[in-house]
Formats: sequence, C-alpha cells, structure tokens
Amino acid sequence: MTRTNNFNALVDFTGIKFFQVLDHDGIKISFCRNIGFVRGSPGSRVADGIRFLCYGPLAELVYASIIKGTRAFVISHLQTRCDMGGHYFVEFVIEEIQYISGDDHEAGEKKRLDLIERGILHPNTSDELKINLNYELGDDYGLQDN
Amino acid sequence: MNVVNNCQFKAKFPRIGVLDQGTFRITGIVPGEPTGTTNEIQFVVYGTDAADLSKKINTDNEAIIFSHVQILDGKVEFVIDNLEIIENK
Repeated sequence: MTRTNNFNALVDFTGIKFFQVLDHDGIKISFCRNIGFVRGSPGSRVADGIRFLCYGPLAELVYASIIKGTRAFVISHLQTRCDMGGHYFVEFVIEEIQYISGDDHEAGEKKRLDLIERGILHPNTSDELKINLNYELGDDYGLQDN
Repeated sequence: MNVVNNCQFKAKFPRIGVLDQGTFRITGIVPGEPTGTTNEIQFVVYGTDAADLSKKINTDNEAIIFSHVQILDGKVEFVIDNLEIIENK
C-alpha cells in the first residue's frame, strides 16, 4: 500500500463481474473486474458504478467470493486507462479486501483450496495453527499422547 | 475525513483549474502504483473552499490530497476534503 495513491472504501458490490486470464508476454495472469457502489454519508454523496479490479490469485478469490449484495472494506489504488474506442476509465485495483457481509464464503473457500492444490497459495488455516500450537506446547502440556 | 470513502493522493497539476459559480475543477496527475505511470483525474472543490484553493493550487504545485470519490454524469471525480502543498517551485 502506498500513501500517495490510496483509496479505502466500504463497498457494496452489484454482482456485475467479469473474469479473464490475461496473457502478458507469455505469462498468464488472472484478472477480474467488479462493479460496486459506495454509500453516501454526511459530506459525501453515493458513488455508484465504481470499477474495482483484481489481478493474480486475489482475482480468482474475489471473483468467487463476491456476489450481488456483498459488502466489503476495500484497500485499493487508482489506475486509469483508455480503451480501443477512446473511452477513459478510472478504476481501483484492490490490494486488500475484508468481507463484511453477503459474500459467498463457500465458493471463496473452495477457490482458496483449489489455489492451494495448484501450489499458488500456501496453506494457512486455523486448524493448522492449532496443530502447530499443539506441536510447540506438546512436551510441556502433556498434549503429545492425546 | 470520511472513513468509508477516503482517498489519499500525491498529485501534480498539469493545467490551470477552472473556478465557476463556487465550484473549482482541476485536473490532477497521480503517479501509478507500482509502475509509475501517470493517471489523469479530476479534482473538484465546492463552496467556500473553492475560491481559496483556486488561488492555492497552480501548475507549479505538488500536493497531498485527501478526498472522496463521487460520480457525476457517469464520470469519476474526487472531491477535495483537505490539501497540503508539499512542493512549490
């Protein structure tokens, strides 16, 4: 995260989403785009139709997890681009996302396991943390024989 | 500052802004992340701050801007909440 190009928002996603695997000089990169809106609050109006992008493994996770009505806190940075038709887009690239409600947790978890299986993500679950804790504490706390 | 809609940018201003009926609009250039590309975006200030900021911001400035995003006529623009000039050539 950089402090000179940073956008944080509580986003409600519309469920309009797009996924593609990009070919960048022979390297395959997952890409997804989600449309969301930021609710109005004192001092700011509702901002509807904001484009949030994701690249890499996060794109696959986000594409699986976000459905219509998903609310999440997003840490992102600004990116602009121009398409073939000369349309100018202001978009936000998600760096971190914390789901608040309405996400498809099952699909997200399934995708996470799939990414682990493909060797893209490293496993890190609460169960493994528990196993490691037991291992660390084993001798002193008599957990070895349990 | 709005916690749920909050942007922080370092921006330069390639062109002179326009002050019209209490609204000041100016184009800002924000460096890309991590590539260093240039992103051209619209900043806007409303109300009493508009006239003050129109005098403060010019093409020689670089500033840290706290803003929030809004959509006007389908276009994304950033409403300045706070601004600090960090370079004045």
